[in-house]
Amino acid sequence: MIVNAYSVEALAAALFCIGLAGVLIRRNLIVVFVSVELMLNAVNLNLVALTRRADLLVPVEGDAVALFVILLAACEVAVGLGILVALYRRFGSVAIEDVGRLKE
Amino acid sequence: MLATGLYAFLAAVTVGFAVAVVKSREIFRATFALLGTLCGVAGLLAFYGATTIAALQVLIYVGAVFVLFLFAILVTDRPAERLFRTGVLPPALALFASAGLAALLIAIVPGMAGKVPGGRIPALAGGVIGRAFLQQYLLTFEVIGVLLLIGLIAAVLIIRKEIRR
Repeated sequence: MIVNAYSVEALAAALFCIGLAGVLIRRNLIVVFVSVELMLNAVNLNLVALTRRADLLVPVEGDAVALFVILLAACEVAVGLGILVALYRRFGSVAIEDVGRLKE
Repeated sequence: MLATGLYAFLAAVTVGFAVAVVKSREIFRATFALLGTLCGVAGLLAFYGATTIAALQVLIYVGAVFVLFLFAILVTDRPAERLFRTGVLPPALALFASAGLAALLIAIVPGMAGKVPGGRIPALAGGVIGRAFLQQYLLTFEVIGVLLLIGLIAAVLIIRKEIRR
């Protein structure tokens, strides 16, 4: 079966923008993180699918970059959730408006 | 025909659970919806032929990142915070901005015309990418490894309770 690149891109764009809406709408920092993961996954879909287009010869580069994205996302989640737990200890909440202050 | 149905099914699962992530009122539901999206994306990756990446997606995202999210919720969540609350932008404006970006992205796409083979699993899928990591991407691979190590140490340091004297 041959998938049209158009549908691949449309699917990834939809997923990316759902994630963007989550980042803009939600107020709990954990859900904002989850929405960022959605956006990263959308990019990965594009990378993996479009590196296999028929006119490209080497299908490995998109895969490699996608794997780097997955690993960096894991790193980001580990550090980000660590910061989130530290914020919760300090402010007693993980809602965006409660942790907005940079000083004190 | 079967492959088309499979593709439509995977796309529907991915997008449907993603909408549930943004819409659901409870944090636990949102996080479990993320699990559905991650599995759908893994299925799509395998459908495009990237079986190695799909397996790693399941291992790293479903196995590690998802559990980290559950852990963070259990550590921080209070029952009063489980309800849906809107953020900085009003939801209508945020939805309008997101939908506009989606329309823009989809409008740009015809410049990227092309065909993607899907629905067949290539032989030796892991060997090619493994060789690439040990040759052309060796330095990046090592740097990522060190970065992951630093990230994990940093996470432990941040989370660790301060020792009182």
